[in-house]
Amino acid sequence: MLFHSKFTIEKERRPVFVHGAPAAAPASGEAGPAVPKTPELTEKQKEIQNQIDAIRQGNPDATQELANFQVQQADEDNSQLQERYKSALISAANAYFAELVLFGDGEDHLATVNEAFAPAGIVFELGADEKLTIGGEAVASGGEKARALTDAEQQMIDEAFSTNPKSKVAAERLMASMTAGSPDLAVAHGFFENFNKKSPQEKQAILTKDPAFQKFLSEIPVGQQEFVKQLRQTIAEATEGESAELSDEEKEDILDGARQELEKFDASKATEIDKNIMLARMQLRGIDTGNPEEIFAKPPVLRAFEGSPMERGFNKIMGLIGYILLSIQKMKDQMKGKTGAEVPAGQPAAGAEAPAPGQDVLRQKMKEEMKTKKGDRLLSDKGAQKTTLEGEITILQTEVDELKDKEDEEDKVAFEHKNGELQKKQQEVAQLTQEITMLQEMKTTAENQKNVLNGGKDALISYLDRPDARVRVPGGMKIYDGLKKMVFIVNDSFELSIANETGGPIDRTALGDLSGAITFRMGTGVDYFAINDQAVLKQPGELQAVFRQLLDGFKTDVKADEPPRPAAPPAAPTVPPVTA
Amino acid sequence: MSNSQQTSGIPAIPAKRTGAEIYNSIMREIEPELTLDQIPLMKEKYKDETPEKKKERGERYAKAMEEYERRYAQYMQKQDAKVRSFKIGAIHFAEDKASATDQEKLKSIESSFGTP
Repeated sequence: MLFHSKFTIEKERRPVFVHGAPAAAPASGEAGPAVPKTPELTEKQKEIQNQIDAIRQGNPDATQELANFQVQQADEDNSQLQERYKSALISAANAYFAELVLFGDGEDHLATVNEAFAPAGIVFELGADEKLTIGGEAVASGGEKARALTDAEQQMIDEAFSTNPKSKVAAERLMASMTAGSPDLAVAHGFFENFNKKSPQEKQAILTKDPAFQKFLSEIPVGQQEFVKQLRQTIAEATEGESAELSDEEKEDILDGARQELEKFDASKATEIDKNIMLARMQLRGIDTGNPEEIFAKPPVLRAFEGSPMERGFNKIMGLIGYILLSIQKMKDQMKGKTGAEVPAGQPAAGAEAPAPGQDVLRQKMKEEMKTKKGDRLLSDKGAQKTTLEGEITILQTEVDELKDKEDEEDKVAFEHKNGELQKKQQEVAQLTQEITMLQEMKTTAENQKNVLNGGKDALISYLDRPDARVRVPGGMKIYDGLKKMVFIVNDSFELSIANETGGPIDRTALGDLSGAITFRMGTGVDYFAINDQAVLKQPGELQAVFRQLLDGFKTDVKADEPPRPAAPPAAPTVPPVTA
Repeated sequence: MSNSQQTSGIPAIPAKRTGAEIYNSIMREIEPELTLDQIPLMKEKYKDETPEKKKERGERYAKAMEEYERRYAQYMQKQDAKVRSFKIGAIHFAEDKASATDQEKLKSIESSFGTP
């Protein structure tokens, strides 16, 4: 328990708990949270203490309220932590920006700073006070960090948004945040599907008329609403000042770039998903993709997408989202072996899973790994490894797609090499998935066993809490004392172990006494509490049944030992009423 | 929760955990009955409990909450340290970037001296 120096401890009151040490005063330049003022701290502490007292007085149902309060507190504290992280990045960016302004070449120092900080998923804006602030979502949620773009992805975005740096930055950020499995991707996917269900006229109305936009927002889930509001605002800001219509020169640039890309693409040999990916790339370039047959014709019939700057920008972003979603889908399909993509001779089929070792072998492998690394840490590291690999697979898949139909010998060699690398990484992901599943299963099994056995132990202790029960049950005192001095825990290797009542190393002598008393009662000669050097139980599976049998045995002993009830006295004869 | 990670030298902000995740991860190690998914089951589970047992359980829960407060304080102290470390990493990153700019300018000046 922590005692705060500002509070005096009265005899009849419990000590007050400090809800964390007071936050350090923010260093200069850091926009950290204010140190909580004493009165506010007192109120919170009083509230917590009141709740704990209520629980202690026999109202365990008050735990829900206290738990809710603690969850809320944790939310608030962590929001403040996120602000401090962002503030630290803002300070660093401003320091770099100031250097560039004073000593750097060129004019677009903001772009230079954004380029430098792009791998962190951050985009800065210049405020009216000439200081940088964060312009967009800084944190990739759910543990997925924004990734650096590949050269191919960067080139694709550079070409698509060559005339609009602000749109380009928004597109880069979007692409970097949409990694396989990320919540951002799920939100974008949902929005993408909802928007694409609309007719071209409806889409135009949504983008250009506020009532239609508001109506569309009301039809989609909350998570998507935030996403599309932010997207619309970003595109509106990015396209402000653009000419209302495309000039002839701009149209020609769009069409030229698209033609060059389509020259290398043979739609007659491509799969459906490859064709859709190519359509998304065309949309990203600013092509009107309303008529795919014309686009895939030889020679292609192309039209630039016309509309207001907002509509053109939005159309490109939809192309980008579509491209990302389809690429990830293609990668997933290949892992499942659905696309039937050609496989170079000698290589395992695309999507083939790593040969699954027997479950026992896998479990043993995980046990070995947990000898050098804690189970939770191993889980977390493998999860992070898998995420990184999935990102690399997405990138490799793009490169493999680009090289696939090339005729040049050098390109063919590069394709073979990259395709081999891709399949190797896919197998690694499959292996990691199995290992993560096994670790989670081991942890859950151990936790469940622990809960059941601690429950059984507590039931025995509860029964023997009555002094008369301990006396009447042969061995009751020893068993009661022994059980009170131990607890079942799950150790760092997800194994069921025994610890003393405070979670520290078990007293083996005391455990031996307990085990002896129970073995004697059970009459089997089996040491049910046998443990190894690390206090891991050797035969945990039997203990649950043992506890149950013990409890039944205790009840029988107590009942047998109860003194016989005295015979009920004979009923008194009823006296008839005296009648006059 | 992932720790701060370096991506091309720039520290990345760790993903934010929800209050529920943090609460559950700490409380699970202290008193599993007080995790958020278990609390609602309490009423039904202990509906036949005697008042004495209820009070014992209340004492156990009160201790668990006290322990939670202590461990949460430790958790927040660790987070403070991580933020401080992150801040230093960000400053170093900015310094390195600025220094790289200076080095390029110096090279450019030196090479202009070298040309006849």
